[in-house]
Amino acid sequence: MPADLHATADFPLSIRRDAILRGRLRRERWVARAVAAAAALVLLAVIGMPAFLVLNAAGSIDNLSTLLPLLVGSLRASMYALLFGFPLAVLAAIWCARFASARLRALIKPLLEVFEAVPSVVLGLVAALSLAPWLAHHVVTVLLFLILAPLLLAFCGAMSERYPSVARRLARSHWQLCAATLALLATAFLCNGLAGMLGNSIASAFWEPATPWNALLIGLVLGVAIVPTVFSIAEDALFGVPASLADGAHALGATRWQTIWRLLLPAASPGLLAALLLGFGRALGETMIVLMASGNTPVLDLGLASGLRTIAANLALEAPIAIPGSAQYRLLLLSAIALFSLCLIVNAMAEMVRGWLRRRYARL
Amino acid sequence: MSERARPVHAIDGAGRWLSAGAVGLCLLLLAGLLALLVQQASSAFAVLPVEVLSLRGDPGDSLLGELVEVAGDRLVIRGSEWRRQGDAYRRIAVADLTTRDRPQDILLIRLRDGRHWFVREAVYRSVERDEPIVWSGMPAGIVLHHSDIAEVIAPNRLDWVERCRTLLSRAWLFLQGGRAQAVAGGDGLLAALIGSALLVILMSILVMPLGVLTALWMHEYAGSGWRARLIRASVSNLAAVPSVIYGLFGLALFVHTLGGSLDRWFYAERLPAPTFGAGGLLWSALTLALLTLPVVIVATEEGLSRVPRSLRMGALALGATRSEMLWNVVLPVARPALLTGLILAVSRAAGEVAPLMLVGVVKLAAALPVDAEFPWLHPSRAFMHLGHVVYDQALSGNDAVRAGGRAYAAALLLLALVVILNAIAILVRNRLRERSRQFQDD
Repeated sequence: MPADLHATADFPLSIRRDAILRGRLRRERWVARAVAAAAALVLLAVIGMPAFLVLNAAGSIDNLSTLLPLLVGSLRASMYALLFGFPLAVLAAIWCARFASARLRALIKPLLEVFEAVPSVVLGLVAALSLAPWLAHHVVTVLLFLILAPLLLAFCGAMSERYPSVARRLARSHWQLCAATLALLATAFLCNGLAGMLGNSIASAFWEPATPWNALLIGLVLGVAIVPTVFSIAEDALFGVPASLADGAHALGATRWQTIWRLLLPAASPGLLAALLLGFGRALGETMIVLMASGNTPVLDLGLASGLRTIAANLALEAPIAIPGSAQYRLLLLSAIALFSLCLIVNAMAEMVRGWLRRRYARL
Repeated sequence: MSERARPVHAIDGAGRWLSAGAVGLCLLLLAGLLALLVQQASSAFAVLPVEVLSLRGDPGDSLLGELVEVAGDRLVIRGSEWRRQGDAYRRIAVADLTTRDRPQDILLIRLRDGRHWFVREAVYRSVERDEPIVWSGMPAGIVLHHSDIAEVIAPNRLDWVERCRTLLSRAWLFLQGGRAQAVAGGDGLLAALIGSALLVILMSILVMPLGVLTALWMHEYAGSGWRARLIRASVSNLAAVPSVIYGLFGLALFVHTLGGSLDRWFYAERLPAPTFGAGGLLWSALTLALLTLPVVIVATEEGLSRVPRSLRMGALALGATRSEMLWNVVLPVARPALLTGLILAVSRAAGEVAPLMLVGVVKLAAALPVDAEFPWLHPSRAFMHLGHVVYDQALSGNDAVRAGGRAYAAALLLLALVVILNAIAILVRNRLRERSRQFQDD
């Protein structure tokens, strides 16, 4: 059959149309095959990755106990990161979802989304070169700030409600944000001054970091790194709670904070749990910050003052020089499998919890 | 307001301030990060004051050098680096100084490889026309060629406009320098920028077809059956895998298994030296393609789900087959979403360092992955990467004072690239949402 059927008038119309249709259907089948093959490839990658790692790791493994400090290091770094980052992110999400004006929210949310894209090597650089030497001399300042800042902010808030004129002005969300930020800055200066007065004597008596690259530094920087992840999920969960619930509570005379504390947080708790889990997973897998700023010392110690070495950082350090098939290589693969399964479990739990949330809202 | 109501309102105020403070802290941290990066990066290129010092108990010549840092009661001075960068630092106690002066007539000669030499203006002007240039006071065996000079300035005489201009010109030199990096270890980002760009381009070519086809299958062909749910769960899990695991997987599969086999089959004559059996551009691009696959799939699927049903139905009603409908109607409408996916994947890949350390990025590449030699692109070669330059300069630069600044400069550039890419992606996505809302209104 001639290839260019459109141009030849020798054949009756029906034959020409049939031939064109046959070509179109053939193309249709090929597209369907290509698309399914791509999907199969993705599935293969997901199943193949752990399978390949397991196959390569097979064999006798002797010094399994060397993995323990790494595992503990990973968990410790993520725990400290969550301790600092989770409350910060959830509080920020609460403010963004319930207190911020629509315009402010439209500004802050993308800003924090962009913050999520900051490469972790940049945060690692800041932690290793600038923050670590500074922190070594200002431990007391930072600890004082972490304790005093929430107390002072709460105190300012409670006081501001006593003076209706102040409270009315601060009802505008951008003024409230400015006032709170100024209060934070004032607290920071206060802490610096206080620490300068009593810092050296008290700090050295109670607590002296063995190294500038310690778990406190990792907790702070890794905590900041997970804030955008936790924030965006928690904010979505809080914002997604049906407005009728909050309206009902307000109508019954509850204050905004009572509504949040008694109603919104419980209603959004599956979302918050998912945020917690995903933040934990992100912290577990984070490599560059820990690699650059943790000192990479595999010690079995739970304190804030000692360094640590995580599975991820260990992989980045040792895998390029490990000889394929050697015992060290198999051990590395095994640690990778452990990290992989931990992250998968955490992610699967987060997905389940999110699905639960979705079903619950469907009912409301 | 009754007395009993007061604690409730106090708690209300406290909670509002506390949560506002959390947002404020996040914004402060963001601003602080930016300020720190800009400040540190510009300090790497700043013009430092040059001092002439003479020491107690040192009868020889007075010391000539830039004041790098004042640390308590000590000065860090960088003298003329006659042989290599970073060989002329001195830490001097202020108490040991007898005279300290900042004369106007000192010249700073900056060489093309980044070394700084200092000389009195009168001495330099008297010998300037010679080739090679030699003046008294230079160590034996050292000469200066006119072609080596990058800039000659009098640091103590500059006003702030000229200082800014010098800073910018040095920053520009750092950005586009580095042609000689492979040979001389000079400073510059060109090789790293080329490496990053090639990597990202190659990765995009690999990831886009696969990601878009998979999203098409999930959204258009599989419906919501168990197979679609399986793939969807796989993609979500793929997104949760730490990036360094991808690196290890790339190392084990691509480099050791595939690369090793390729070497044995095609490059047996070179064999103890690996061709594809070591980390390289191709393997890195494949690893990153796998890493960014979920990003592309999720973005594409979102775009596909925003294509109005009426458009599909119209195309089908006019007699289009499913693939024709997808190709001619759905994909063009969803094009901004594909673009968003691509941009997000590129920005993710540009910032990733950990997996690359396992599959092919190096501190100093012997040759660029592109050159004038026949296949022009050499996918088996190791390459340099902007993110890795940050890591490498921060922790193992050979001149600690300068390397820190360079790391910050590279980090600032990397951050700017990533943030701009992300901002574009967010803008494109918002416009897409607006448009899909318009479609629904029609």
